[in-house]
Amino acid sequence: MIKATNVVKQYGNLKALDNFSIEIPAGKVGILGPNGAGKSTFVKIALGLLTPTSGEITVLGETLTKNTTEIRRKIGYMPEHDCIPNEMTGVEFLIEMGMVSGMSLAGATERTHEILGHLRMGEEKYRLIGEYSGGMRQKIKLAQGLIHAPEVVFLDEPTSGLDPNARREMLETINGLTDVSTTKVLLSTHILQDVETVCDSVIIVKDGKLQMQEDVKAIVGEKSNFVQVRIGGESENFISELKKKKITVEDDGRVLIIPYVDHSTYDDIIDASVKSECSLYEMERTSQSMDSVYQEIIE
Amino acid sequence: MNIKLEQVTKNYGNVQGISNINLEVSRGITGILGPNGAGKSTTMKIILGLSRPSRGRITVNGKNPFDDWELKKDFGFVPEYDCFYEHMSGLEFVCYFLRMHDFQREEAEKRAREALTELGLEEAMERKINTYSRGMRQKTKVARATVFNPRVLVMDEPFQGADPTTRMLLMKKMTEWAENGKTILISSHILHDIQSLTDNIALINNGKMLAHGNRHEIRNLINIPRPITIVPVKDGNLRKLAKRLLDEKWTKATSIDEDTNELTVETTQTEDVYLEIPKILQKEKITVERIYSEDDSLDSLYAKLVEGHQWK
Amino acid sequence: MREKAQLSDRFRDFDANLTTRPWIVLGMGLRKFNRLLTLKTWNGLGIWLMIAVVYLLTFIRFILFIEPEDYPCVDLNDEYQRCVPLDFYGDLLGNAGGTKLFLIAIAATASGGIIGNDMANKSIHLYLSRPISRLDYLIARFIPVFILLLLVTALPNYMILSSMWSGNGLETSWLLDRKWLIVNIMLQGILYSGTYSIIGLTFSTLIKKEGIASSTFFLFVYGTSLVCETFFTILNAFDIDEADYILLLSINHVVDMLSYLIFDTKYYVIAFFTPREVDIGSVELIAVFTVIFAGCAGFMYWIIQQMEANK
Repeated sequence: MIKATNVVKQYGNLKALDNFSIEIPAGKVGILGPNGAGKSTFVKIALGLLTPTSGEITVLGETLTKNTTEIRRKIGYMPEHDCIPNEMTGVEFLIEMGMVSGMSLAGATERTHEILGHLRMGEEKYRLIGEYSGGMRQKIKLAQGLIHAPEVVFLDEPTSGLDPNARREMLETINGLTDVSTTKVLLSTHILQDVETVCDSVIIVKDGKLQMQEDVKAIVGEKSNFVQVRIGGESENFISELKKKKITVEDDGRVLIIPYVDHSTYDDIIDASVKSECSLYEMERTSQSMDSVYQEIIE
Repeated sequence: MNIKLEQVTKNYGNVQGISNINLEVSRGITGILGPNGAGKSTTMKIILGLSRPSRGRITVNGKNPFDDWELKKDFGFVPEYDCFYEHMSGLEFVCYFLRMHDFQREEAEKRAREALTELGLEEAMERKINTYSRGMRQKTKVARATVFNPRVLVMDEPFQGADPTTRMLLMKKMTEWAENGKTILISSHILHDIQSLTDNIALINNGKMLAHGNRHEIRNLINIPRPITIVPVKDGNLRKLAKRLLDEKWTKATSIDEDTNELTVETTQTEDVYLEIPKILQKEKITVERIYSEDDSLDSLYAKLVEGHQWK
Repeated sequence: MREKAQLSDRFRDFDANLTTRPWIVLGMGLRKFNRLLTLKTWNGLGIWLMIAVVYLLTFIRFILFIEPEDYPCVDLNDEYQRCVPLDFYGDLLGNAGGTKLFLIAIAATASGGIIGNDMANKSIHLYLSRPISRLDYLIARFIPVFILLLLVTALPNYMILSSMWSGNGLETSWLLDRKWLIVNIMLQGILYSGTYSIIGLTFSTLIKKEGIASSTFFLFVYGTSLVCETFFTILNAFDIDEADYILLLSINHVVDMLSYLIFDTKYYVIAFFTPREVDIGSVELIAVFTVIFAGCAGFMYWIIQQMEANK
């Protein structure tokens, strides 16, 4: 989808991108990294808004040295900050954005209503954007990025500032995008959980360099050597039952952490809970979380 | 510190801020959740004594924070919005507040440095605030509150816009502070963060307290069947176990998913069930590698309470 | 037989079928023009009102009171001529009784928020992430103001022309003898509309608050004009020859002078109730104008160039 070879972008003395090479596969890709890591510089280059100091970048098979405005026909972009006018209605604004992308009035109108339908915007779409709630504004921002049926859509912090319902709805919409169309998604976010729920693969960028590129399932699926148990009742009895079998238990106040040996560990836990008459709410071998992977790479 | 709200109502003219809120918070972390405009910030302001309830009673260690000036020294507040003098450095900014509270210059600088260093701003604290990233701004706001070593820390959306590193650091610090006896109230839209911080939540919607307390206990109070998923290690046992569980009177329904090798039991009488399931598993000699309930996540609880009103 | 039940795709791949850049830009401009003339906002109402005043003035001052034989030009005295197409752009209170005041007011109202609003609500970033270049965006924002101003410059002037033509008996030969006039009126209209549009756009880029941008533009153009004319008058009282050059500081006078140049007429300013000739070489004049025009365009382009679509 996007291929960068040895891309360098220099601002004065500062190297925003330092020999950055990557091949981003199609699908839903998350970009992570601290502030100023070079994420946004990379995205600006991929959108054809900045020219790299050196190196080559290919987006959807087109090399981005000359064709910088044309590539934007195939790219949708949802910025992080609020950037929609208050004095237009949602429908008017989206039609305008569609037509600025080169659609006909009829096409833009049809597409606007189709997208707003997917985004579950009701009659509000005929109201002025100035009267919208944060979640609705965010939907309009997303819709304007999709209006011209781009091949790739780049979403910059789409869930920032949304309350849990609006956030879940936004994530579901993004998740559904690839089901209902061939649009590929590039998602930049600070909320690692979003990447876990939405993305197929993840990229971590730091200091202008690619630090990691991995399948999300591979990361999250990797099991650790501990079993996490949450019980009710007298936990002392439960712990002492396990101690009889020479199993050490760590209690962090909310869950018990038990080292995993093999399947017999599970049986021991079941056994201990029966003997100590504790209810067993949760038993699960812990797996690596996105948080820990991120922390490991960044630090 | 013991914070107690009894039937607290706050109106702004004809706008309802919060109505008849009851809440009791003692040491540890409490997450305040709810949609935008639900009344979270109003509740926080009332607890901090920044705003007087229209009706009802608020006491902090038995005293009313709105009138008691001494009590206010025990509060630290991290507001949602930025409130900086942009031309100051982080260090100057924190010092400025200490100096306002009659700290001597050297003492103020020492304390400010400590607080900022604790939050990983040792390199940035001499720089002007207008060069700070969102994460650094949030940390500066937190440092401004914690530098007074308050016993109650109230944080309104402290993770807003912060990068993951900042968020993890803040969460780690908050856990430490809570262990040292601080009372921390935090609001956040990212339920996952609250879930990894604490089990204690207060859920506000439309100005009403929907639920508060331990989230697992809250779930048990909701009268909709709970799915419990059991994942055996070997395939063959799936159907056998499902059949066996159907014999129990507390089973409403079972379903199996051959692809993921999962068995889900729907049940209403949760307490007994959690005792019974291990017994059955032991008797039938079935090894399972995972027992969990989808409903245990804060996401699911939030959705049930805020969106669905099916429960009594 | 009953028709078979069918299940169509809930979602289909949308073929956006996008047009080319020139059409996008033209469309953007025309839609904005349409929005400028909306009656739903005070600005739109104001613009309509001022357009009405311009046409009323045209009708009263020129169509009714100019004799067909006095068209286009009549000698004022031995030295100077009064030409109707030039008088049209004169000051309301001055010698000519023209529409300059309303022309600038319309330009100010229309252009005030045209770029500034996009910058203030940041939607400019969205426009820049579309398949148009930054220059395309500027052109698309220039078009609506330009068209609007043509409606109150060239168009009423042509109306005067056609009324004079009908006064002369609608003869084709009359028109054919005045081919130069038809071309000149158009050139003059483009000159006035283009200049005021681009200056208005510059103020809108510079000041992101619509009302302030409009009033600054108006005060700047009219203010400098008044100040320069006052100084010109005072200096003339002392018979200082270089006084002419002071008028180059006023964009208003520069455009007027160019307009007189198009009609090949001597430019004069009324000082102490007597017309005073202003003698500035056409090369200098065109140079000053080019500097102003290119300066404004370059400045705007530079500002837009600084903007990034995702900052």
